[in-house]
Amino acid sequence: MAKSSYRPRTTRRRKRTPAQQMLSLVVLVIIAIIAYWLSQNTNNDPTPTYSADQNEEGFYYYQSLDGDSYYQSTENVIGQALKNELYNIVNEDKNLMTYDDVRQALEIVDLQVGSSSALYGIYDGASFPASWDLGATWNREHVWPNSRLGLERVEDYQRNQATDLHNLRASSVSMNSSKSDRFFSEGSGEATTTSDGGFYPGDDHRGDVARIVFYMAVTYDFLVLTDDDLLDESNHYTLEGTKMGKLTLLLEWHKEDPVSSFERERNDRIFDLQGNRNPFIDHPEYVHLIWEDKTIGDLERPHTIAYQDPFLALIEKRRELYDLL
Amino acid sequence: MTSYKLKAGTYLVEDPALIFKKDEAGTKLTQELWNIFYQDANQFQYLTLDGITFYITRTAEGDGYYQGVGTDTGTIMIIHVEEHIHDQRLNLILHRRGMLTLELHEDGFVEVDHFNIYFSNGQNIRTNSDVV
Repeated sequence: MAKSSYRPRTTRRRKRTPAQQMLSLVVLVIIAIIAYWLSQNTNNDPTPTYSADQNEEGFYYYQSLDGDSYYQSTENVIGQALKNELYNIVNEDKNLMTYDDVRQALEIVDLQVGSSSALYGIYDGASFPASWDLGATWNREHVWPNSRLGLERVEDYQRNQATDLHNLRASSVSMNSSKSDRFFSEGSGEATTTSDGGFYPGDDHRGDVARIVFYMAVTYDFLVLTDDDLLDESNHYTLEGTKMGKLTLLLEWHKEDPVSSFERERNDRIFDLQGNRNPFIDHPEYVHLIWEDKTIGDLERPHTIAYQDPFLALIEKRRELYDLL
Repeated sequence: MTSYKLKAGTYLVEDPALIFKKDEAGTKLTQELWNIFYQDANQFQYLTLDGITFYITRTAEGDGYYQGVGTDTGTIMIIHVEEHIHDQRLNLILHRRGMLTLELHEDGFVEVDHFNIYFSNGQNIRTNSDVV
């Protein structure tokens, strides 16, 4: 009987010399130092941290519409056609409230996450009791300013684009005054007016305002989202004065301040009360398909490879580690 | 209820957002305005700000479009046009949409009650829908 040629792997390993062992130790120490240095510097890196639903450039991955009846008709649609389709969807069952009723509605839709008694104020995150107090602590803020909504278009001032719940947020009264009719402009940190006549909504609110403004631009097709002539106030309250922006900045903020659980809950509550949804909270990737000339292919999530072979998996892990370093 | 006398003349009843320019000087004035006004925002106030005199009240309900007067600041301002027409920090434009041009042919008054504004010539702006 032939002798088996199998020998355990361990017996084939050559014993390393003390010099090799020392070299390995030195390499390990160097790698550890580099890793530590990188982790420290990563913490101070000003580049945004994107969510798991975004790629390394901040673009949101395309989401499947399987079982999503509300947006089913948008499947494989991009660009102006997608904008048109969303216009049909959000307007089909939209049932606007009167401006009076909006006060009570905000007591529900602007509740802080996990609270049944406190509202979440836009721009400064202030907390208010969820009951109307005649504007003493909070009032109604139009994110797309009231004066830029083209109000000459309507005769009934009770139910119109100015009473759309998606565009109205509870705000501290002084913050509402500071924002006033200003367009959104560049800044960082807390909300403040800017030297170019604009307003920075604050780091934690810039994505929220971007998605609200995108909703308004799709739902009311006479509203103009732009970078230009935003300081011109000569025709406010007319159809010529419906410009809002800055569009390029809002597109960046949409990526840098991803959709929050507050926005998702708010969207659900407005759907219950007003009958329509903000598509850019449900499908943030639609922003890229409409305003940034992206295709669905551009936004596909990379496939995760399930390695059956542990050796291949180890190689992949090593590759990821080197990429990280 | 708070009441002030108004001398005869033309007044703009408008959102201060549209009255103060958004250049450096106008923005500085606006910031000063909010600092002062919000010390007692429930009062109808007569203010002098770096030589500019005016009356201002908050609305009861925030942003809105109240009998033809729109606001994005949740406040409405009343300013005498003839006194300030040459002030380069201000936009004093008559008869544009979203504001009221008030002509007082004789001395009169303005009063604010529960954030509703009443003028002596009979015109009024109601920002409080809870008060008839």
